Amino acid sequence: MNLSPLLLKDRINLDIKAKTKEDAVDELVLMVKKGADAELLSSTLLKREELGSTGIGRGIAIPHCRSLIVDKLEIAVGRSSKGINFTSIDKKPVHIIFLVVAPPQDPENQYLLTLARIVQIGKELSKKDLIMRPQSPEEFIKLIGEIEKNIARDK
Amino acid sequence: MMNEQMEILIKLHDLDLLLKELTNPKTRDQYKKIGFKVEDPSVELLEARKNLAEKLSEDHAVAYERIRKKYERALAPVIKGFCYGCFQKLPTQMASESDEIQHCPNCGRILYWVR
Repeated sequence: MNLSPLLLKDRINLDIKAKTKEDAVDELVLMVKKGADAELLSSTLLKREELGSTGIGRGIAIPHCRSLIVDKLEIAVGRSSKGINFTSIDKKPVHIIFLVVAPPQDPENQYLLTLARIVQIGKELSKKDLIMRPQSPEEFIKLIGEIEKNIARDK
Repeated sequence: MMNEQMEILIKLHDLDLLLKELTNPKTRDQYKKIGFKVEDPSVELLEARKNLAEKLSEDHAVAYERIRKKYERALAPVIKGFCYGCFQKLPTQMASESDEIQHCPNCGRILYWVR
């Protein structure tokens, strides 16, 4: 499964203002939901962080949860040039955050497949030092598409 | 404006779902295999769950636990007029705007109208 078709340009912010993990989650959640729904989502996402940071290392974090608040898979992306302390596995600051929220009912397991795909792409972004390269959401989606083409070709 | 009790029910539902997924050995391994760190729930997290449940009125708390025991998840989303717990069409007079907490007339799950 490919990630690029699931990305929406109005859910990609390449210059998030947050300086902490909590603020970063809140800032990304607001791209997906507003008001009380946003507060509910942030609450569950931060509880997930208490069960182990989703900062997987190499400057990447993937906060995620299932929630009744959404009826389909929702993804938001945030980038921070300064970096955010996400208590990551490698203790390094996080520069790219993929927020993933899925409904409780997910018969095709799209949620776990998406998370696995993001980990794979995130590692490519980091390995090739591409995180800071895109200058617009459109360029970001295009870059993810190119990485996915390379992954498919190398299989 | 969302009913305050409904907000607590949703938080509890989502937290219970999270705890179930990340403490079940099979799903826990799936997350680890993807590359995520998964730790056991801390005393503080379990305490937070307890505090949340205590904010429910007695009626809602009893209903939540009773339905959860039967179906694992006590709440079901309503999508396009269907209860997504039992997939039965709901009577048209059941309204999303209602401030009351409503149950599916077929399966009894607490209903949440996804906005």
